[in-house]
Amino acid sequence: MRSLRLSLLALLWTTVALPVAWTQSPPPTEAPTGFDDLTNGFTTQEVFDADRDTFDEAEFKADGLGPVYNAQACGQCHQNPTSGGISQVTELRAGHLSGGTFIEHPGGSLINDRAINANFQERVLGGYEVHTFRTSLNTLGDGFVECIDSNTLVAIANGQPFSMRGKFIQVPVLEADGALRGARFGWKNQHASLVSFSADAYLNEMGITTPLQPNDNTSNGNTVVNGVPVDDGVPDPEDDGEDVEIFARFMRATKAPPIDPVLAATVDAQAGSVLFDQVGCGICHVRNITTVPPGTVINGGAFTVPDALGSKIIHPFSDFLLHDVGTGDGIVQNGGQSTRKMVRTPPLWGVRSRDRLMHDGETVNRNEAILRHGGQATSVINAYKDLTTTKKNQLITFLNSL
Amino acid sequence: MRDVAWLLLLSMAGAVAALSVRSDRQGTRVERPPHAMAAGKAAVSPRPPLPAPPRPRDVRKAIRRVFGETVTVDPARAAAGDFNGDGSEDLAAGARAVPALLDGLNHELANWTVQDATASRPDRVTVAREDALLAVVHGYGVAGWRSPQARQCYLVRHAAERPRVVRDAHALAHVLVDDAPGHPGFLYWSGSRYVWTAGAGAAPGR
Repeated sequence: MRSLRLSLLALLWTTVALPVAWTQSPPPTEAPTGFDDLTNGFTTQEVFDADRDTFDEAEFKADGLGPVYNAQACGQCHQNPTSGGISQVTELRAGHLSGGTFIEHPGGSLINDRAINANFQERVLGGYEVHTFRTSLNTLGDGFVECIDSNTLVAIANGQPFSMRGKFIQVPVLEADGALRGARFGWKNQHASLVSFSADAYLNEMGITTPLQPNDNTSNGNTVVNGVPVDDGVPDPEDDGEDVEIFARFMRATKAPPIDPVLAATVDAQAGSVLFDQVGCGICHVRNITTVPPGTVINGGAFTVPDALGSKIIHPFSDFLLHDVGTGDGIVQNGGQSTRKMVRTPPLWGVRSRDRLMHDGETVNRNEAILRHGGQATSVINAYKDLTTTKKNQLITFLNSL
Repeated sequence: MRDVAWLLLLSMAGAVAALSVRSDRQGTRVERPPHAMAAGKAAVSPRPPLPAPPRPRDVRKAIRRVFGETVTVDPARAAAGDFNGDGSEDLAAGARAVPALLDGLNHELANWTVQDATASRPDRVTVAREDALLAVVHGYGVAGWRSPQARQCYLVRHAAERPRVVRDAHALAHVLVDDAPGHPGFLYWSGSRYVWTAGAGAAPGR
């Protein structure tokens, strides 16, 4: 009887403990970081290097550039300090406010700064008095951001004080037939997946059409200007979708922005890190988020999270939610009229590589950027104002270490 | 015998559980649709009415709360309105620096932002002792600039000297008009700074 019991216990161990141990998700580990042009493991280094070349490759008229556009390559706006990073380049958006309702500029709120023909040049038309600049965003580490569960973002919002609660919106995933998913990319949270973001940027920043974005832009809403059709002469779609997949694969393979290890190790930066949490900056600039386990299907079924991106702890210093902090972007995109004055909490990872701050890049020092926060951030900024000069310097030193 | 049956049952249950977890591992774990989010703060501001002129006592109190002793204020040159369009009433008042406290007023980590309303570049601006200033306090919530929480503030050079509030025709915000002889024009909030546009009859409001 005793040997039977032992055998059954052994059977129990082999049928339960072993398979469970084998099948359980690995414990979360730190995501790799670095401004070093090395893959995070999602692709081989050889593929990563080739993808980066495509990311930085300039498009020309023969490729379908235009008719209106902002830049010739992804890397022209996402480059500092390495491909995929930020830049000083801004884009222009415009619209009109009528009785509290935002009305998009003809042809869309994006006013492209360049055109392949002077006839096609877009301008802000009279009567469209709402305009804003938006700085280029960092894309390094965005593969990890893509792998955050939408419910994690909702949980972050629900954990925030009522007066500071961020707005979670869902947007269509283009490569999943428009399935909705929690938005996380872009100043207005326009996208939830990197493929959707890439297709959008390829069209709206470079004028290259793809199967996911098959129609070229107009010029201020016009398809003919001065008798000239607004067209680049290349049949749509100008790219078969391969480039979009490559851009997304490149961003998914980038490492997250690293801290400055020397500055971060200083007493001042470490004290500033504590103050950052004490005054409440971390309520919206969330320090730690863990991605979903490997094998999870996201993006409406279009992407399965690989080992390189799943169960990773990242430090984006963002909640990826929309907030009204009084900076007045004034533009409505995916989130409806209630988001007119909201912007997504910008991740602070890598902020030391940025000299022009806030969504419009119009603030050039850290203290003024902090003071520019109002609205939902008022109580936090008031707590900052109550700090001594020494402590303010420590907090800013911490920011400069990110 | 009961023990044996119990162990067998446990083994079978464990095997079923393990198989179901294994199926997750094989790629069937799917991000679930987000559950409901608690409602947050409404962001759309109502069109603000033109507020009553601020009382001198309230003006002095608010300016002292945010600027301390660093400026003296002229309550006769004060106006209230929603300058930044957030639905909360703001305050603008003529002010002068207290010369003995200029260093603190111009400190790089001061709790206010000094701006020049006529500057075309975001250069760092400092206040000189002879400068006529407009001290602006952005409001917070229903109490507006009178709220103890209302501490976002600006010292603006080359702005309206005798401000009067009108409503911007489009922006759901108020602008400050100056009808003073020799200094006509209007002052508006651009989203990041106060900007002065000179010229009689230049105000966009009505």
